[in-house]
Amino acid sequence: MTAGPLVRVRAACASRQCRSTADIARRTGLPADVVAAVLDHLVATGELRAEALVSGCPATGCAACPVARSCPGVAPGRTRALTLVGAGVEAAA
Amino acid sequence: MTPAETATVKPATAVGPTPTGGPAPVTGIAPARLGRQSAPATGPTILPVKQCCRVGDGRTAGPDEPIIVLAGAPNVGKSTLFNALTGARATMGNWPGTTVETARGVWRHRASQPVCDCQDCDCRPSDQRPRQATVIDLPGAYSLDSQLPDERLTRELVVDPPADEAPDLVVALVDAAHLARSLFLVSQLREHAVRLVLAVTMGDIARDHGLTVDAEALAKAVGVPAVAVDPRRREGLGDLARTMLAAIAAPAPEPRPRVEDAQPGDDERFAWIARAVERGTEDLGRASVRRADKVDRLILHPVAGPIIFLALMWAVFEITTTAAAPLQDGLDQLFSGPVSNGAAHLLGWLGLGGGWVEGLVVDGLIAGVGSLLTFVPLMTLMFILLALLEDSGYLARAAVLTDRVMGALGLPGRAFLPIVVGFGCNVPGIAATRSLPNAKHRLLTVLLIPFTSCTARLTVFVMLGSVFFDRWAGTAVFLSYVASIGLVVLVGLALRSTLWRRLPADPLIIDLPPYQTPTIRLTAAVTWVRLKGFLQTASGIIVATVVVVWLLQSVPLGAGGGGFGEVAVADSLYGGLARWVAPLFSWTGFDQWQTVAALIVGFVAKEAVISSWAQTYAIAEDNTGLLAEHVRAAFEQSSGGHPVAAVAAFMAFFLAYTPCVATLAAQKREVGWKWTGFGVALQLVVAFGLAVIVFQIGSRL
Repeated sequence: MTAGPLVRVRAACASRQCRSTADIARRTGLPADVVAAVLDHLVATGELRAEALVSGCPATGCAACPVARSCPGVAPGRTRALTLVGAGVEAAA
Repeated sequence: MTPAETATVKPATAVGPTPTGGPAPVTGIAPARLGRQSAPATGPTILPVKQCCRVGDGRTAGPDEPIIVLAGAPNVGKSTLFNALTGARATMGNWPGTTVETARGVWRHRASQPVCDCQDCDCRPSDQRPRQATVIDLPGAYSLDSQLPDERLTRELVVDPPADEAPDLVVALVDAAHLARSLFLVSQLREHAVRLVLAVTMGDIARDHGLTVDAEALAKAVGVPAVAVDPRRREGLGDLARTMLAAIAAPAPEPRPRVEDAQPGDDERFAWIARAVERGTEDLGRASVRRADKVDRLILHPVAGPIIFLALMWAVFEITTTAAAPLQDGLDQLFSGPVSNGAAHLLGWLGLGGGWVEGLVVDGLIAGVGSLLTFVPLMTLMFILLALLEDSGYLARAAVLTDRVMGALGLPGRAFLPIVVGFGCNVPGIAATRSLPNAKHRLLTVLLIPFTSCTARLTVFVMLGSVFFDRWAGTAVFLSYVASIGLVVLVGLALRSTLWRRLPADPLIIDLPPYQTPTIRLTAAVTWVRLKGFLQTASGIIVATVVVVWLLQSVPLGAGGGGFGEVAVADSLYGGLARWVAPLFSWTGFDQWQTVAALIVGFVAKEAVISSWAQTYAIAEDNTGLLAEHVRAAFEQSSGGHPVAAVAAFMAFFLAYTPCVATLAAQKREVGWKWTGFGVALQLVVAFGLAVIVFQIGSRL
């Protein structure tokens, strides 16, 4: 039986060959919209951790930042970085 | 436990409409009934829609009228459609038994309204059909599985109640611009025997992305009616009304087969979604996607990508230094000339001239703060260029490239994020390492971040680049950034091959945004926020440092040099300390005490280096001449005629040694004193070794 989009995207994430969502779309042959939906699902289920990629801000947010009050680099990013977390890595590997 | 679960609980028997027609004020919730892990429902429960709306109180259509619920992800236009249907005559409030806010209203339709688009058929009389219905706007939900209260309510009201208590129709709103994302909820709804209509919204945004959703094809793929609507412009509402009426009159469609296990079930749902998207979407923008794909293939190419990245970064620094140079010179002359002279005259007029007050104000504050302000045009230009690259979508691609390099070298992919932050400021970069779950990753990254060239170092690099490298100033600054990346990689490799030979590596995936034309508004906003932040941080540090440096320069080191404030800087505590340290730098070509003093100040904060430099020369030379001339002469003298080699060595040292005391404090907080001390020693050894190598080789070329 052919693996579905979820399995294919999860495997692509764990393959260490894909560094962007575009890589995943190419590797899995799925439309970018479907890849984005699957990644959102994996974030929602806790298999992936999403962090906003901004220049100058800690991923832990302003609350944990010691220079938040006079921050030199607050800039809302359009980009996010996704990482497989714990069990997700082992399950997919 | 959610607030709903801790709320007052009333017995289940109290649930139901009140004698006055309103819903019973039940505020309890049965946790057991929520989610998939259900336990026997012995406690109070959420009112199903029929019980809640079986009253004719003006807020609902009445006990016999159908009930329509609007479901869908957040921001797909549910509330706008609800307002369009009900005329915004809504009752807002928490759904009984929960803390989740919903809206209820009455949808009235004209009796003469046709129920289909056919021209020739006789299915016009709608008198037999309901004239009004209760519409419930459910909170946003991506799926029926979530444990979030808002999303659980959707499941509880739509698929969990007995058939006779379920709503008569579910209108699922799907975002045409993010169709696959919206269809996950639909895929779950289709596994239940519910009457379902898809309202396809955001068609205009999808068209902007080059996508068109064919509602008819989508309906066939999903197995329920689908209608394109634009609630904001009130378009498609007639079609939706007819479709809703027809759907209510028809039996519920046959549910899709369901795979019970969670993971295979989700995989099957996404396979179904992928087929529906393929059949229901016409991708008019494939050409532009293909173009973007081609650009990505070039920009992310393992060889061409880094070259393009380096070329762009070089252009940024070149444009910055070239275009800002005249403005910088103008501001420098303004502060060292008219502003300083004006302040000196003013203080003289007030009777404070010639003393320590003039020394502090003119030679300290004006020289120090003025030297920082000369960098405002440069920083502005640089922040604008970086904001343009970021807004266009390029910087996300650069992140992929950088991550690839780190991955190839075996460094942890996730550590890339705090390291990128470190290029803005090391302190938040170190704080960001808390997101790394592995202690070794955290420690390694904390030790590497001080080697990233922060914004504060940039001012010194630009100043030295302009003084010593003239038209190659931009290239010199650019090379300092390349050297910074190289240092991170080399030191990381060295630590990995010695201290941490076995480190697990998490794969990192960057969610690339589409390319777009940068907007002036966003670019200006980002630039302003960054510039303001830099000036706020730097000015506070500089004023404090200027005062401390001035005090140190005013304290005589020994007898005979004069009293407080009268001593020559060379004979002051400041000069003495610098003279004591200076011989250590004889191999580096910059062992002049003024230069070494600047490095000592830089240990406290890099922002204060230029100000203290300016302050030292302003007092020591008893004039307020241009800082550049003094610095050039100092390197010329200390290097034995090899100023370029010496300044390159100085820049290498400046890049690698301890960034500031704030970074040390952040390191201590994250990894403790022992590793902070190790880090400082590592930075000093690397910095000194690098400076010696650069000068010794450079001076022999």
